[in-house]
Amino acid sequence: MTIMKTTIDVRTGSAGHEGWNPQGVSSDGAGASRTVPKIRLSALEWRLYLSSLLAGAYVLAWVAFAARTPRTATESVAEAAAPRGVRMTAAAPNAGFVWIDDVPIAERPAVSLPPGWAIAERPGTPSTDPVRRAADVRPRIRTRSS
Amino acid sequence: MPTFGAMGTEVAVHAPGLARADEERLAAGVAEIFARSEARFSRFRPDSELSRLNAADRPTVVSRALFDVLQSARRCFALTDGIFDPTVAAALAGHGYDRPFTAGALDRPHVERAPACSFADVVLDEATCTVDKPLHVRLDLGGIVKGRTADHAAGLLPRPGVVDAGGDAVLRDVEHEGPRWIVDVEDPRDARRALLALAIGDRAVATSGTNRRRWAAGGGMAHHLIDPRTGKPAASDLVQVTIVAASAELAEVLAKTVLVLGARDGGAFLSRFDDVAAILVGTDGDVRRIGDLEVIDG
Repeated sequence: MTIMKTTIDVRTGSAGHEGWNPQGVSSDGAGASRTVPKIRLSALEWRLYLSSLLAGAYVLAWVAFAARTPRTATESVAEAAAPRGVRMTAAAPNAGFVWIDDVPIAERPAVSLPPGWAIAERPGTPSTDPVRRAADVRPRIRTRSS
Repeated sequence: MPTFGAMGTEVAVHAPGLARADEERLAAGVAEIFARSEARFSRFRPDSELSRLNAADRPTVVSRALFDVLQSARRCFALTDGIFDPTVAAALAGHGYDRPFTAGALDRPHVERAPACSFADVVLDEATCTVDKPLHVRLDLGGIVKGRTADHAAGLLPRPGVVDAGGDAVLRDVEHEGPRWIVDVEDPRDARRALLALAIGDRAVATSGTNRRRWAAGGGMAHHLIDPRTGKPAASDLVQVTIVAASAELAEVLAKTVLVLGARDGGAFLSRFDDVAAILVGTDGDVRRIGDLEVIDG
């Protein structure tokens, strides 16, 4: 009586029987099946595997960190310039800002700008009211005999 | 910054807090004030009110505006012990300054001696705005009108803002923020350089010097700062005086007075004033600071 060892080729799904073949490849030609390869990684492969795991964790950490961080300084300053209680839709229905010259003078907030920042003039519509602009340098004149 | 020509110099208006269009409208208003002032007070325009007064041979009723300037000139005449004297017009004309200054236009080989006169000879009657002066007395208000007009025009300024009439400037600051303006004092030996820079707040500054408005007269060089004691261009040991004071009118008058008096007497004269600072530049290049000045460079 012959005892047969049945295996299934994981790639072809075909069944077969054979003796133990360390290479997983049939030695008797067509119709032979393969055995499940034993995972044996080299030192280089282990390094690559661990590196990719660490890189993935790093990316996930950054994504989670960015989701909780405040918006950029530009957005913060623009938001600070918008007075509370003023309907944003008055000036620009779809924009998240309001022009300061649309706000009545009495309701305009005191805006403290960082050095070098300025409140822009509305493009295309010359204002009739004075618009204060930040000046990061003191203006200079010259006195002389004339 | 917007500029325009007036009173023989360039006037600049600067208001850093205004949009450009608003700043230009402001400058137009300032230019109108200067134009009206020049039309009334110029001794070179035959149709000016001052020219008509100079030509008058009898008591003349003048406008309130002219009378106010003459009264202010009278106060300055007293304040400076007669060194600021608007009756130097005849002496100026005798030396050739009888038309608007342009380089070379005033040169002449001879000097005509003008008759002695004094502002004390001019009688001002406030009740009727009447001016009575001897026929030979001619008035030149150039030493006071430019600063006075700058003071007047500064009433239009927002804060911060400046009216700068060829170096005679009125500065307006933002309250409680400290001096905002930087004023470079020109080096009279090299106009491209600044002697020093001052931080100045709500004040006025004016500079007088003998390095500009010079011409050849009588075989020598003349300038426009007449010493009323001699009737001749001042032989001063100062070449330039800068005054920082409460008004451009006062600064302009004091600058001319100190330059005429010279370093020693001019310095002593300035010690009468608590609220005035000065920079005196000698003909030898010596720079002397008087009073409370915030020098930030130099």
